[in-house]
Amino acid sequence: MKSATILGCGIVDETGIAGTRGITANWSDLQMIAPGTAKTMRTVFGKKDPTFRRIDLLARALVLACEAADLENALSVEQRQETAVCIETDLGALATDIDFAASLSDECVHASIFPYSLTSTSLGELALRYELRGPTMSMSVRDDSIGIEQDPTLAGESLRESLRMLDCGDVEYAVAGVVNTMLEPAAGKPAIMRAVVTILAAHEHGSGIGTLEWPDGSFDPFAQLISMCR
Amino acid sequence: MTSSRKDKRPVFVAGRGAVSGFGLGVKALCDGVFSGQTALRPLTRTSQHGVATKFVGEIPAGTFDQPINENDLPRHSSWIAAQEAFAEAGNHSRQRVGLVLATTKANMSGICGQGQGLGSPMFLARQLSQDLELGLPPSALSAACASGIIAVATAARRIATGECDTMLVLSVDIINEFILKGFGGMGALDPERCRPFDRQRRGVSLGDGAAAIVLTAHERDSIGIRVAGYAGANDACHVTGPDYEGLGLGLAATRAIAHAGLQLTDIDLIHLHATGTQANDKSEAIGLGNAWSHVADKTPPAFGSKSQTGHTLGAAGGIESLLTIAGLERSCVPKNIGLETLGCDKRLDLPTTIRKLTRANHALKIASGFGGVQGAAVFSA
Repeated sequence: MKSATILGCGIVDETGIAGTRGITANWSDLQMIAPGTAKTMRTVFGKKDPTFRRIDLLARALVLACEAADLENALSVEQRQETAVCIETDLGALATDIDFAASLSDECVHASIFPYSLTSTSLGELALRYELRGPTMSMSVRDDSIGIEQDPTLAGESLRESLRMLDCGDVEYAVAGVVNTMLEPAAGKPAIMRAVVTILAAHEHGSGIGTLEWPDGSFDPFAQLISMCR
Repeated sequence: MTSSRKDKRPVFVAGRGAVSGFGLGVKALCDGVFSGQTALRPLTRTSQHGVATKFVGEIPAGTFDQPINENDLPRHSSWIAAQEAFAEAGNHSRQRVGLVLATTKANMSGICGQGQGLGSPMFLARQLSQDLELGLPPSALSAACASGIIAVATAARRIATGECDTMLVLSVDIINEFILKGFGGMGALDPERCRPFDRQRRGVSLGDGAAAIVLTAHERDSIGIRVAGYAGANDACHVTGPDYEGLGLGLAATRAIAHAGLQLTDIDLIHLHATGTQANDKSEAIGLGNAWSHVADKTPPAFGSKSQTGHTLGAAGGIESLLTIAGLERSCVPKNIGLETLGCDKRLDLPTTIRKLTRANHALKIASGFGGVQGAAVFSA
């Protein structure tokens, strides 16, 4: 059975930010309502980041979760050249899709947000900030079918795919997790702010803080990671 | 990264299917491209969207037995392509077959209209898995315009690890108002037919596409082609623009070749991403030129096909993998349609007439996408 070494975890949700880096802060502590606000949230981690506000909400949540997981210390710059990014999402870029679609009848469409209608663009922001030069992909785990219950066994696709890549030796490290962000309810979906990331290494490449076992669909694969954060 | 690849099972191609601007079937697609035709025609189905281009690669009207609504085209064309691929693969039981679906926007009917689709790839993947009666749960991924090639890698990995013996890779995107106006708003569309690598190139042309590839662990079911290697990379440079040194693309290419256990000099032909935008073509030529500069003055002969099929986005990696395989089977590289005056790094060998190959053992397919995403695969005869 495939498994990997956990080097770090981080979570951003409606409660606040937490991670194995040791920071646990709720939004009221931070005097903020959510990472979608204009303030530069990375100052929480002692970093000035004037371009943080430029990036989309999905990428912001992922960057904050990676900060909470202490990615820059968990992986050296050289190791990050060999690091995959594999993130799953229910909503994908739904909020951006809706915003862009609303401009279709305008004389000029909202072209600047069009690239962010692809979740890979948001993952690219993550790769850009941390110089993650391995393969990049987003896994879809949402089924819009009316009347069909969401399949809970789908959760953990990104973890399974990352474990496969590590097991094959295709990559040595992976940043895996889940992200769903939507500030306002839309298209029948509730507002949500949640990103959970974990930094994984093939067993021979590090002694970490835990082991990620193969998510077989019988449990919430992110519960273990969240419990390591809080 | 790839030098430490563990010993895994080989992966073979067992079946192929396609629906494209050339109509139904892999043969129509490959014959069209290799004979120098183009499926970029004046807009018909998409003409009401009022976009700044005269040409797209729509699936021709009358391709299917009955008219199919644009919102239903992703599902229907994928299903048709899959049936063709399964027929070539021998129509074995599908109980132990899994699906990896690659698409950028899947079905947008609920966002741009009153339909059910909210752009979720998994929505379409589950529909198709049920339609095709596949026994294993589907996966769905999006990696922008590199989706198709990354899906091939994802499916191949499951066979290589012994998780399953047969995988279906479907890659599909159908152009619609959302996509056309998105690219148009970015100023990325060529008003005429796109001309990749030409000095006068002005942007991309878009096209419909659905491609199906059945992968298997069993050599006896193979069409004589192996998925020898695959890899990904990220530019980590800019999320919509290219790396002007083509570093990420070169990295993906060299990683895939190493993953296959090959040397750069083993590659006999390359199928390029070749969108026709100034930036993409420039960086692609530099990236590959740099990668091969250690072993040769020029790259192996290379071709693009988006001036013939249009850029089929999430389907491009699938459609173009089929053309890459066809290059090996036909031992030739087709001419680069639209290229008259070279407007990029001269180290990229771009035939302007069809070129017969003296050796056709290994072919490289590369793809790029928003987010700095890069993908590459090596197919071997």
